[in-house]
Parts: sequence; C-alpha cells; structure tokens
Amino acid sequence: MTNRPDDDAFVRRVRDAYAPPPLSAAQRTRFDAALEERIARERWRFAPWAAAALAGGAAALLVLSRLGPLATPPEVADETTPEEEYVLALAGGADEFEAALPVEYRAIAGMIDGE
Amino acid sequence: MTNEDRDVEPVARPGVDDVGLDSVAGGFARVDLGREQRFAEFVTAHRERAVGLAWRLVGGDRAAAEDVAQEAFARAWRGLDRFREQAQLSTWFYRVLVNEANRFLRWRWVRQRFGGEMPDEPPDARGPGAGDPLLRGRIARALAGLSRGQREAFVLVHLEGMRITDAAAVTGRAEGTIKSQLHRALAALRAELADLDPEREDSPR
Repeated sequence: MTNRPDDDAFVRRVRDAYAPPPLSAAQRTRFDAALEERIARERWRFAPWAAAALAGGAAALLVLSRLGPLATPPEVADETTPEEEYVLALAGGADEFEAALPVEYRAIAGMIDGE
Repeated sequence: MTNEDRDVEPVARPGVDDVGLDSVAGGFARVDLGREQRFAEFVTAHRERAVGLAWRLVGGDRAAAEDVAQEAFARAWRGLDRFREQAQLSTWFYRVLVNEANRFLRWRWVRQRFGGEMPDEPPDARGPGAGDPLLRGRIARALAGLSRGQREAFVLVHLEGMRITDAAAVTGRAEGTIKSQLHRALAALRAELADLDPEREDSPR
C-alpha cells in the first residue's frame, strides 16, 4: 500500500500490466544450461593463470635442482686418474712425457728412434 | 514488516513475500551442503524472481533480462564462499543484478548514441505475456524516463514487493532516500500514464 488509496490502485494497475511472462519449464532448463556454460567458461578463463602458476613453480624447482649440485663444493678425488697423470706429465716436460707414455708406445718410439 | 515501512508499503504480491531475501539467505547458509548443491538451490530459489526483476529493469527485454540474471548468478558463484556465514548473499546478489541491469542500459544507450542503433520498442513489448502489449511498451518507456534511483525504487518496492529496508540494502541507499524516490517516481508515472489513473475511469486504456 502507498500513502493514498488511488496511488495504491495506480501501482496495482502498472504492476499487472507490466508483468514479465513466467519462465516455462523449457526456458528454465535453457537458462540453467546457459548459466552452467557461462560458469564453465569462467573456469577456463581463470585456468591459464593456474597453469602458468604451476609451470612457474615447476620451472623454479627445476632451476633449484640444477643449482643444487653446482652450489656444493666439488669432491676431491683421493687418487689421480691416468688422464690426469697424462696431463700432469705434459705439464712437467719431455722426459716425464716419455715416461708417462704406455709401454707399447715407448717400444714403438724406441724402434723409430733406433734405440 | 516494520512500522517505519508502513508509510510506503509495497502492494502485497502472492508468492513473493514468502520468498523474502532473509529466508532464502538463511537456508543458503547451511554448511552441510556441498558448494554445487548450495548454488543449485540458490539458483532454483531466485531464478524466476531474478529474471523478472531484470526484465522490469531493462524494459521488457527477455533475452537481456536472462543475460543480466545469468551474469549476476555467475558472480554469485564466485562469491559463494564469502557469504557462508553472513547469510546476506541474496541481498548482495540483487545488488549485483541491479548494477548489471544498469550496465546493460548504459551500453544500450552508448550503442544507440554512437553505434548508429535506433532506439526501438522493448523487444517483449509485443510478445507473449499478460495484459496489453502496447500498454507494456508505454510503461517500459515511462520507467525508462525516470532517473535511475527512481526507477530502481519503484521497481523494487512497488513492482517486486520488496520492503523499504530491503530495497535500501539492495541499492545501497538510505531508507529515506528510497521513500523520496518512490514519491517522485509515482508522481512522474502518474503524469506520464494518466490514463491508468483510477480517478480517470473514462480515459482510454
């Protein structure tokens, strides 16, 4: 009700004449389907952000896992390997270089040199 | 209904007051239901009223009304968890819906003003529905001629049957403002739709 009875009657006439047609069962079903589709679209719209966050996290883990061994000091071997001895011999001079050669190489070298 | 609402009470509408904002919101706040189920219940409880309110606000355009209502429901889906305890989702939902309707009206105005679209009759004005389609079109145009606040107040209180306090909460305005807007809206509509005036029974419908 309004302040005046004639206002009340006027409002009632407007309300009756300007009434939305009710939703039919088919319209309700269509409405629900469209709403479901809209919400599903919104989920997809936000999905790339979640995927990007996951990818970022995975990349960060990968980088950290690769940085981990580099960050630790390299292990020092107790014994030198043959390759290392060869390099050390090269650095030490010709005699040591000869001595560092395998026996077979030294025999061939002696035959060539006429020893 | 509080006493302060009685000076400008909405006309009673069967089937509306029993689905008031508070009752539906209270049911929605149950925490034993799953999120999907709670949302489905909310949609079922408010779908008809939401589409009807949007229909009245956008001038009788059924397609636009459904779009506006769906956008409001989609936002309700996003905000569902925030209102688990407050039981105020329905008030917030109708505020979103009213804002969405206004957004639609603004964009339609922009398209008509700058996009070369011609303002036309409301799409549903001659469509199915109760009453005279021409009269519906006239009422839609008369409502469109009101200010935003007047239109919202009139539709929410007099056409949707909301209490003044609920309309104030939905629109974010003071109750006194709603009453003032109702008074001005009523005067403007009575001038625009004089043939509906009960004091002029001999006038054409």
